Amino acid sequence: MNGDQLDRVIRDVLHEWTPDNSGAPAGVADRIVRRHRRRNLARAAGAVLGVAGITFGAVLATGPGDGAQPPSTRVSKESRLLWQTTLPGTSWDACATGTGAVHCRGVEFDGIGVDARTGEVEWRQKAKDVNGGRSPAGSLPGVRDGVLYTYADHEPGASRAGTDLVALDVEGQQVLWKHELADDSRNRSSAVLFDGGILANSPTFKSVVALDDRTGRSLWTYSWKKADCDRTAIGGVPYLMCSPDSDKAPQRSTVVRLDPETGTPKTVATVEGPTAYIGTDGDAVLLGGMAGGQKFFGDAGPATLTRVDLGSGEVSQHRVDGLPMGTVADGIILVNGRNGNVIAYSADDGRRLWSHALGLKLREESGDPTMRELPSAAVVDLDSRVAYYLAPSGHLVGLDLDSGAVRWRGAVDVPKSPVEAGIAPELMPYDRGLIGQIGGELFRIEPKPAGPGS
Amino acid sequence: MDPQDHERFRDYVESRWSTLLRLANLLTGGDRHEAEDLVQTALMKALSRWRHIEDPEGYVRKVMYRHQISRWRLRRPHREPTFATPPADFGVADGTSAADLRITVGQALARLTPRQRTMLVLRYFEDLSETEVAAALGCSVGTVRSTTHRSLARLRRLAPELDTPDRTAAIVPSSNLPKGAHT
Repeated sequence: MNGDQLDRVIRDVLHEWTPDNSGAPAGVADRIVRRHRRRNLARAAGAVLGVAGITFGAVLATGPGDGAQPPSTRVSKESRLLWQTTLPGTSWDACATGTGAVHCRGVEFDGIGVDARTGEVEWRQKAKDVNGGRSPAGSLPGVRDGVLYTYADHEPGASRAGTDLVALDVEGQQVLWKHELADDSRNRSSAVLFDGGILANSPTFKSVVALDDRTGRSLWTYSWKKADCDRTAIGGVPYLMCSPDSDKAPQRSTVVRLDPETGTPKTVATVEGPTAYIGTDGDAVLLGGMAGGQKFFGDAGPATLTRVDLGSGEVSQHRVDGLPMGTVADGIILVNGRNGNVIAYSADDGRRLWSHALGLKLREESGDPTMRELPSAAVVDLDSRVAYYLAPSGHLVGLDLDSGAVRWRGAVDVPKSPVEAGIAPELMPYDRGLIGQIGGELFRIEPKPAGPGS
Repeated sequence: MDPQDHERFRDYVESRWSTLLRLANLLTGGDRHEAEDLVQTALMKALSRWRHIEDPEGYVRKVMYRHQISRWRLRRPHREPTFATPPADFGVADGTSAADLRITVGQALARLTPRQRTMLVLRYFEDLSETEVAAALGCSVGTVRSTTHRSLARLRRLAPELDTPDRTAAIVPSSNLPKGAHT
């Protein structure tokens, strides 16, 4: 079929298809007006809190009273636990949701598939000659078109087994292809899905290879020098966020777009100094830099929020009271602070919007009070504007995205386990609810949060 | 909002709801709940500026385009979104090659990423030029071209029937002319 014929088929399909009942529901306009009024009230409350957050920012960061209290909101404890499953094996590193399924990988299994409707384990792919370590802070690249992209030991049983990126056909549990990676990181940068391929950390620490997602064939490679580059796909296009790898390297950071078909790089923007990739906000990349003479990114102190517009390359920089590394949702950066609180910053200008304690029990490691359990990263439901968190204890909380007020609390029974400091459970959005993973426990829950300001 | 604006908004919603919902259904790949939510979200945004909007239809549509391509990646920034379930609404194969092909293509469209699908809906349903699409989505014309190219390539991969010669012959005579097409 040539291009014109394809054009016509697409037009045909789009123009012929109509929803079966598309009349306006009775009173829909009035409902929208009411919803809009409620949201305005919540926003107004959030703005007031934001001002308070700026004024008392320094006190909040160091002194008592951390967690400015947002306006009181009714807290719902309503939810529906659809299922809970204990996975086989003892150690699970990461999960990802796909169409109708949850997939996980761990030390003993390179992949496992769980039916998202029932929680039943549908298939499992055992790892060979298991002797590798855990990487509980790792990730699973994802699932696409019935293929799970996961990791496995390159030389099972060897003392230095290495890591392969593996494409596993979910239906037949067949390995379609594998590709050896440069190291054993197995984190979110190790393999990134983009339109038409997968960007793998290979063959060296300072290069990426684009692989055809169906065949594993190498499409193109890109390498660099004197920098460490984080990777992500934005709108299906691969980008690198590069920062100097040492004091001797040129002290500037770059955002580089890689052409998905050829790998041709295009520098979108360059900024002074080392930076760390925070996330994306619409068509902008957010980077964080140190602004108080700190040596390492983890050190406390003022920071710079850099916003790079991917369309124009325009850069704006804003002072922030701490490095805002966290989840970005609808113009807000949610940062998991110390002592189990959350701080929200504006992704536009770095303003501190609100701070709130999660109220989740996070145990400390005995003998070292600085080491404690972590809550999951935020999962934000933009429809209800609630940011959800999960604790290793099985407790969940939902904060109002605009004000920080607690709108929902829930809990799932999980077996008691020893404290694993620095390890966070995983929370994923699925359909209209959440899927959570704590160790070997997997569950699906539908929270019913209270309305904002209700 | 004064009563006059309220009335004007209500009239607009009631008269344009079905058209906007149809567009939203295409943008979301046939997810009815997502589609209704998309329309409501766009209308709420329009409501914030209602008195100042000269072209409500254009404004609401633009919000829908942009919201649809941003909402997925904002939910979980470090994970590439997975795909929507193909809707059943595209029909059932009736044994004729052209109809079967339309069903297959419909299902393949639902499996594109939101950005890819949005690009095709804008180009082929809204009949916007590349420049207009770029302006609507706030990206460059080059991005529109490359995304459209990749979307079509992916569509061909998802619907290999598009490259079967007898299917091609069957579909050509029954096609609609595009909206506003010059003949």
